[in-house]
Amino acid sequence: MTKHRSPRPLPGALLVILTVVAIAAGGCSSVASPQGWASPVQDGDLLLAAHRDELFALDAADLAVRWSFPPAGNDEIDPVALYGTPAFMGEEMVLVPTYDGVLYALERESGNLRWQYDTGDALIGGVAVSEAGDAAYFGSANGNVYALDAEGVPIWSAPFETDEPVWSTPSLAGDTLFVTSLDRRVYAIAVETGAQRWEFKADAGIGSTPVVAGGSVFVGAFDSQLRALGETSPYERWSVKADNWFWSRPLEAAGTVYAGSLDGRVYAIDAATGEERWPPFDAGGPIRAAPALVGEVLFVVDTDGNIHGIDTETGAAAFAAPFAIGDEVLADLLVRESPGETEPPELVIVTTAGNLVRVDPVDLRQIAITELGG
Amino acid sequence: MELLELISWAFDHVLVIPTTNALVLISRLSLGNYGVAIILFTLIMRAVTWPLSRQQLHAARSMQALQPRIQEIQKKHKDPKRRSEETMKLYREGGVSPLGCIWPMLVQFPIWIALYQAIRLTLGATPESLLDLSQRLYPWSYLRTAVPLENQFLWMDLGQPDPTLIMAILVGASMWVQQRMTTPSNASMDPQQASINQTTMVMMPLMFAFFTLQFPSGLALYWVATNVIGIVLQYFYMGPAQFSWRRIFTFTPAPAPAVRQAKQSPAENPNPPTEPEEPPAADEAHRRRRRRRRGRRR
Repeated sequence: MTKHRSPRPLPGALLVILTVVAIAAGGCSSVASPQGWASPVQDGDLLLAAHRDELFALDAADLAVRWSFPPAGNDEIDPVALYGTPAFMGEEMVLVPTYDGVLYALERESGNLRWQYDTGDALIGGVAVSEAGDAAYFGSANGNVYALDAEGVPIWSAPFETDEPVWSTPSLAGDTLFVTSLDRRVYAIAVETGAQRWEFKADAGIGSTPVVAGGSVFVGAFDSQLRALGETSPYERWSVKADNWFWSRPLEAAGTVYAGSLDGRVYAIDAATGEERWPPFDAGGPIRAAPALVGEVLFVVDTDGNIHGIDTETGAAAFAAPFAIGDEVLADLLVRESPGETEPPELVIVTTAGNLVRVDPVDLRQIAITELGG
Repeated sequence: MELLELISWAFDHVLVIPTTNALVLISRLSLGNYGVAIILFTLIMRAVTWPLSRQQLHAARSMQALQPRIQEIQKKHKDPKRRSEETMKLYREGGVSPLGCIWPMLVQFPIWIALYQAIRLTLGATPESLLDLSQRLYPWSYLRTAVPLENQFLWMDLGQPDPTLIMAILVGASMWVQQRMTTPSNASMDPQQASINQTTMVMMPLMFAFFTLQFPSGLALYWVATNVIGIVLQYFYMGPAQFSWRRIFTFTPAPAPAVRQAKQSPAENPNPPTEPEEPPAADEAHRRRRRRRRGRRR
């Protein structure tokens, strides 16, 4: 006997189906997974470039892979993602900050693990290394700033504490370490003891790495302001307001501070007076990556992967059109010098998809593109 | 493809971005406490969508009221076609649409999805999501300087799934209670319908409890808040006098009021009803129809 079907259960059943469909269609993958945006860095004949959770040590001459980290087959190390720029420590070591909260110290030649230091929370910023290569300073998302010696042993009696995560790379100038935090502050810390010298409070969190030059600390913040602070005391020399956050590291060269903003503009500010050198250059897309200077041309790349050349004298576009990589770029630009400087420098860009793009800064032409790990 | 992009753009700009900014604003106004902001925002959203919720509750109540008469039809007519016709006729007479419960729910659905996306966006659990958020905030420094938001609320990191089972249990339990409040007693249904209802009532809370284990606990907080508000609204809409907590927490199906009356012996029931009691909505519609018929005859 056929039973009569009432329409009552429809709403519940349909809601279940709709919920599943909507969650699937909305790209609702549970928690956003970190992708990483570690910037490439070069020291002599070794170039380090990262893609997601993998670091590649490349020969600076021919970009052949010497080693990679974590080593193939090692399941014990899971960096999750790499955001902080790796750093060279002395002649023999490479430091790799990872999203799983561990700072790994690797042999420069082989990539073998020397030591590791677990902070317990994500490392988003990079590492500042002393000139002598005997100390490393870095911040963690747990809000602490650490100082380690070449053996991975803490230098300070206790880490320096901030109230919110530290997402930037500290800057070292003489005997002072400058650190920014999402707790809205810039801290000046004595490198010997880890004691606070001064602090400056902005109107919002700071995710940008500070730059120290000419007695000033230049720092951008999420309050959309680029500031110049005194190096020895926390007074604000000047500030420039953009239409969105400053997240990229500023660049100081010949008395001018260049900074890209997430409002899609590049600002050129007189380091001494805070006056604009030229009207902001409109890149069209948000800028997270730090700019790079080659001769008289400033190169910036927006998040959409368009590389712009800007004449530093006039602020006008140095090329007829930007070069479009066609892929998202969040990592800083690197000016790659050939070992021994036998060849002219070139721009190296690592895209979020893991492509290493080499661009000629003379005519903004692509030289080659290599898939990291490919 | 272009149409899909257009829909996506419109959804983003009409729902997701305003919702995101509203959440950030409320968070700032509640001294940066994002958990409180989610609860306040849920309250506001429930207030804004109250006309739809009321329509839904009204439809559910009307459907509930018709259940005894539906059961009568099922007993009276063996032919499924006839039974279906009579049921539909009853719906028409009662001015009740079987889909009356679902349309208001469907209209609210995009709002839920937008809120879900806004919570994910504002929590900025990764640097990429914070970067994404920077492009979606209105150019108002009060908003722009509010982020990153404080992720900690009670024992939870709102950007991460709750490591304890507390939120999963709260989500499942509150959803189950809310469903029990809107679902008529199974005794007045045919066994197949009752079985489907039972399955839905168990599956939905279980499914959302499972989601809670995977999704940011900020979203779980929203689900708990919206369920609790729904329970309170339902309680007051039905009227405390009409409400029986015992029925909610009775696992064995209890007979519906009209059926209970019919089964009572004359000794137990001094005033046996001669006809099943008509529900208010059906009664009113019936009277209107009679008046119209009389008018036509004249």
